[in-house]
Amino acid sequence: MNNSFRRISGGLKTAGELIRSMWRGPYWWLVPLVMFLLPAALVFVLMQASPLAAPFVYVLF
Amino acid sequence: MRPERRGESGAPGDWSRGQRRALISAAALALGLVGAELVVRVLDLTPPPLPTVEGRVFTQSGDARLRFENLPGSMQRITYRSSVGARAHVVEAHVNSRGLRGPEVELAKPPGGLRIACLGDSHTFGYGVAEGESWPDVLRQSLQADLGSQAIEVLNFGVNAFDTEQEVAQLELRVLDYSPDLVLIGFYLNDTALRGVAPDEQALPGFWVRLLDRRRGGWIAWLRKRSMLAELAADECYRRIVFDYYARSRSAGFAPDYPGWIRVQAALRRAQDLLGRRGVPVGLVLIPFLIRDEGELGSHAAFEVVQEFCASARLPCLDLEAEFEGLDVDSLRLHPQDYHATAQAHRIIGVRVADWLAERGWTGR
Repeated sequence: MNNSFRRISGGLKTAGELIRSMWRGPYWWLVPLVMFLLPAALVFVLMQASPLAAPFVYVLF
Repeated sequence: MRPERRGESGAPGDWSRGQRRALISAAALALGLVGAELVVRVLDLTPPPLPTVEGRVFTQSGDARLRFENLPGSMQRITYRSSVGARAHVVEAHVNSRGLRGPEVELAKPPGGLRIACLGDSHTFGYGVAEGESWPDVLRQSLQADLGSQAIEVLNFGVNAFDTEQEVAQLELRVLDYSPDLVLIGFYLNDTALRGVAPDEQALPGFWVRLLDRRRGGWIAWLRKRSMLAELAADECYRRIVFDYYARSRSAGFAPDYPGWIRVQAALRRAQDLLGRRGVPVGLVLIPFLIRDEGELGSHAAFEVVQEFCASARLPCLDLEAEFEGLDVDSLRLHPQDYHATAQAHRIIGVRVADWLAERGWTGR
């Protein structure tokens, strides 16, 4: 789990840099879009074991 | 960083471009959270409530080696619900007057019959499954179907929370009186975590476990009560942290120099010698830890060590991991936060054990 946390924190650092560069440039509007999609991503992660969600996940990705 | 520019009017008090962007981003996040909350509610994805347990099926033992044992004539009722307010699924476990799970049995073996004694912990006792659903029960049903009119008795000596040393002590003190034709010892991942031996623990991420525990009060309880998304996220994180820790720490208990594993090997050899002198075959049934990580069950590495020991000690051993290949093991546990097996998993185990006994010629066929 500690390894997972390290991986997640490393990924968050990269994501933070990406968002900072978007924020400063002409594509700042991508930031609200990412903010909107973040909870959706969380739901997909939490739903991954749910057989109800599986067909939709397959179609989307 | 570029200096922030004022809004179009440039008047003091106008929001800067950065502030406007921040506001829009925050609104988008709030909108996303509301949408996610709606999805969770519409699809009813919240985890089921913890089951309620009534009654106690164990008592302190008069024997120091056993420490505790099943309470004769006791009953335990466990109530499961798929969601709050949903119809309950009630499971009862009965312990007979001799302290065995299941119906009454005579001490004397019926003439011409086959009597099998199953030793183990809660995974053999059948914690959370009804009468007739534990793997020893399924084993009896399968053998009865195969052997027809021959009387088959499978005695369930399982005691919740027993370890291997206690099981071997139980064999010496109680089980041999029943003159079994065959003894099966159910073995689980936590069986080297013997009482009195300091476990080789790797640090539990205590902060997260305390924060995400369902019994915790305060602001997180407030949030979990109002948001099903928060409840789902907290529960899922808690489950992953705890099961990951459990698999890691218990697997570490199979290191060659770990005192618990050394004592378990000694206990198994003692059982083998004791039964060998009486001409009673003994087999080890490796009951898998039903959490899959990177394609393997959580007990995979530990059970490889156990199989090596069994091969060197010539102790027959059945690893059941292959029976769960390709199956959704999450759905084969009683509850997302419980590692005990469902009736369906017990059926898989019981049927495979029956086949194994037949393959080894232990059933007389």
